[in-house]
Amino acid sequence: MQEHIRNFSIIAHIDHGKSTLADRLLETTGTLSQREMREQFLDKMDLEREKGITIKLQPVRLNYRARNGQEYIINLIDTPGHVDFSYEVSRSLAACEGALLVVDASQGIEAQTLANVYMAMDLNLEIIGVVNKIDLPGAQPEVVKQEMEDVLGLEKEDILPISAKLGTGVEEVLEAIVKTIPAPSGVEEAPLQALIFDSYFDPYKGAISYIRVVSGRVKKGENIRMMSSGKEYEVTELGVLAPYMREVQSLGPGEVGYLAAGIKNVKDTRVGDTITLASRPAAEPLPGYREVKPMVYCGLYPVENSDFEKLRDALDRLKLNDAALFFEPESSDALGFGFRCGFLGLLHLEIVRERLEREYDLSLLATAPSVVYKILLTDGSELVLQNPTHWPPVQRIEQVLEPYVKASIMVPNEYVGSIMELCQEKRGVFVTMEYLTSQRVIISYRLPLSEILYDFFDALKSRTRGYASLDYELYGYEPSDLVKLDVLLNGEIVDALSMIVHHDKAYYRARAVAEKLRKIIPRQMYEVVIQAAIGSKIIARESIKAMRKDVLAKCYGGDITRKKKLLEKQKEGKKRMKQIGRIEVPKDAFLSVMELDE
Amino acid sequence: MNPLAGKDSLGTGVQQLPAPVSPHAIYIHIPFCLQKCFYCDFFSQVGLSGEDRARYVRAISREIKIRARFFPEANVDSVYIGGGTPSLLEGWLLTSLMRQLRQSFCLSPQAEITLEANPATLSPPYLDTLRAVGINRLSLGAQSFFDPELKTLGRSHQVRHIMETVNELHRQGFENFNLDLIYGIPGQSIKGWKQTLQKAVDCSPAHLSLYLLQVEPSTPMGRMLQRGDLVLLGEDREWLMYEYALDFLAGTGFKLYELSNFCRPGRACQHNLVYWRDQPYLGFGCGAVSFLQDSRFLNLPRLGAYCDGLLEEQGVWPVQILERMDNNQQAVEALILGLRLCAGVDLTELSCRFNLDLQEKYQWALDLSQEEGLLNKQGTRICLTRKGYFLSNRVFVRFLS
Repeated sequence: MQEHIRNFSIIAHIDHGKSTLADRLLETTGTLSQREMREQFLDKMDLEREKGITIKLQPVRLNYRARNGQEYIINLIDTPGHVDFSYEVSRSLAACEGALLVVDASQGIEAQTLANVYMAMDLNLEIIGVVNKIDLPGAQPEVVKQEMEDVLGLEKEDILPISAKLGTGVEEVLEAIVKTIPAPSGVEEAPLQALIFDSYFDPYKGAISYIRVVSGRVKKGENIRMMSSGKEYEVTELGVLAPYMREVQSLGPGEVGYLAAGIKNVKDTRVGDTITLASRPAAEPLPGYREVKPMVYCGLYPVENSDFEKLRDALDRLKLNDAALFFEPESSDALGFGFRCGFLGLLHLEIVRERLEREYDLSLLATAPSVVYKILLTDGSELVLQNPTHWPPVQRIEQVLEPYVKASIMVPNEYVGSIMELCQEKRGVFVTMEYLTSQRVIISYRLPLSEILYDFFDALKSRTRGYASLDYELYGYEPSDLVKLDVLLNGEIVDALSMIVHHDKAYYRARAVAEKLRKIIPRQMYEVVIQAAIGSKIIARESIKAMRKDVLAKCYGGDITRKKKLLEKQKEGKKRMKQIGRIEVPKDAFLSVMELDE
Repeated sequence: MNPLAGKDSLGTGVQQLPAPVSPHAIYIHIPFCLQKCFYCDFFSQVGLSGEDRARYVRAISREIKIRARFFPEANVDSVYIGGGTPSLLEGWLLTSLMRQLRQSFCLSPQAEITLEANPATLSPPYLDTLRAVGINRLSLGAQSFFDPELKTLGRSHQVRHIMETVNELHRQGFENFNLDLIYGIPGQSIKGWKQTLQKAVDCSPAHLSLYLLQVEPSTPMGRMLQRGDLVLLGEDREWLMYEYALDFLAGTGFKLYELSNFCRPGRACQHNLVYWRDQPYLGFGCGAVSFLQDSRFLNLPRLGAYCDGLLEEQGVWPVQILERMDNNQQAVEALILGLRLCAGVDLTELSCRFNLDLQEKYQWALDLSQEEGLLNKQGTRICLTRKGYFLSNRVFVRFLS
């Protein structure tokens, strides 16, 4: 059986057609009937379907009868396609022997795809090149194939031209998977080693782990041990995803499936952990994953203070599926009790917030996101700062260090000038520039992480008519001339609005933030004065006039029902407001001060 | 046919409610207009023939006749004929309508009977008819004393029509009339508003209604606003206009009694008081609303279906329930409507009526609103302050929770 198993991932940039290809694979192998099929079948979250993006597909098992007449089990273990989630790529890749590299026939390779392919190559995975969307008018499959050969060293003639949309070439992809990707090599008789590559919480079965058995065999009813914690559980259910959950009695070497063991505490199924048998444990765990560190922090606060416990519970649950999510309780003078949360990036933040609101029925506000600064104090100690509120008094600061990333930007060569200009504006330091092909250039810059978080990617896209792609990794900390910018409403500092900014940009930011707040805070009973300050020095001021009108001028017999509905609606609107002192601030204000129109 | 009868037969706890009060106010909706004003979102239709109007009056008479049977005790002291443009009804149709009303209901001799009128539609003979059928109060949609503003609003009349009609009313000794005015019209200046108010007062009406222009998205004006073809004045100027009106009218013998309504002593609109005092009323005609006990009903706003239904042999009343309120919701509504009146409401009285301790239930809302200077409390009576009128929603919203 083992020689008939193939485990693979799909590496693709957002929009290059991963979900569609997955849909076709489900169809072609008969895993799903036409009747069961719907678009983006493996996109798990509503959010993904709505945004039309795939963060990650659900794992799935395909049964395929190859042209050689043999039956194969092919497991698809997906990788996420957004830079925020590149850490997850390593989890998925480690569970596979091969990867499909899907490249859009008119777009070519993107920077981040490149990074993921390198990661796959480092793990000795077989790479199958696929050029997708060959049916589109702008398709240049030959050019893209040449690029893949030049840049990645794939054999041009091995690269498969397909149209996932039309189904063209999909069978060739399946044949290539069977022929090119090696069967898993684990030994059935060895002690059990199974890798947890994903997990989620099921209210009935407890924590469910997606596992890849590397060696040995796990059976229902056996006692397993988590190698990181030593905790033991009895396996209550084993199964495969085909694509719906289907129970099996055991899983052997190379197999991919799910495992439930009545695990109540979400923290006990750590993604990346190795499962072994309590009765015959493996000597060593499998190599662990690269540990994930959040890059961005922000405070999440319930709009209703009484929802604090509910928020904690919801975060606990999300954490199970999301190893990168970090949180700890904090409090704010302005907002009460909430959590300081760490994220991989702003998309990650946005997704977590939306899921909390949608799936757990919470109304939340997020404070301005911040990167992690290091501050050397005059007494020789070092302060790691995730929250601008904890910025020490100036006289105690020896030096401030901020995180830099090494960014790789891939562009057609005519845009090199505008990219360099943008990077300079963002306080970037030029590193290198390389020609990948005669038309395509990869430019490296060291950039402060805080500068690329908010609008860098958008600016990049707009200055290159969408052609630039970006990948980055944390580079390290460098000294920087930073200050803390406070925002005051009617003379009171609102701690949740404080932010760390570069000294040279402080005035500009201060004015922009004050103006933005003037636009989004509605009129109140009294005049509201907005100020931005560095220390005790006010550097920007705006004011909001007192509210004058909040009235229904006409209200007669035929109209009362409708007028009451208007009032109800107005009352609903109040729920989107957070009371700070006497001022009602829209909950989006805190995040939106970061989205300044340049 | 009678929703109340249906409710009784279902036995949905009517016993716990205060005994049903027989309505003593009747509203009649006449949904015809010469042209639709750009800001209007009331139900009305244009381009109907005399025959259509006659058929409509037959239908409405049928509705009155059928529904009156359920209210044998009703003693009506207020009738309001609104629209639309009721003054488009031919004299003989109005006569016929009023005859039916008097046949079906007991109208008290002092009943206030109001007709809404477009100033361009009132001729001296028509005024004679109005008096003859018992109309003793007129409400004129004057809106503005500047022709360009009337044009902006899409009104079919001009300032000279207002003047002619008002002169004729005075000549005939018809002193009990109201003028509707609109402020916050795009392009209107504060100076222009002051002149409109002066001219309105010069007309010596018994009553003035001043309405802040409210642009609904579904109206032509709403669409112009959306396209950016229209710019509203903004709350600062609108507020200044309101403030000016309060001061100016106080000095000319008009008394504010509801946040948009002013009157000479003793000339408050009886019919509208019924609404704000949360009393029951019957609405007849297509698009009219009735309020009885705990429910509001809407006569479906479809002219064809309305007439067809009622003129069938059996007579079908095309109605739907708009809302049904529990005791709490009724109390809130009574509070919100009552607070529109300058006299405000008596908390003890309302608490008794609804068997709730409103004082305790809304302590925080009352305290906060007083603290903000929007509400006055003397003993058990509460009312909005002058500052509170134009910010009244802020207070009302607090009672909704």
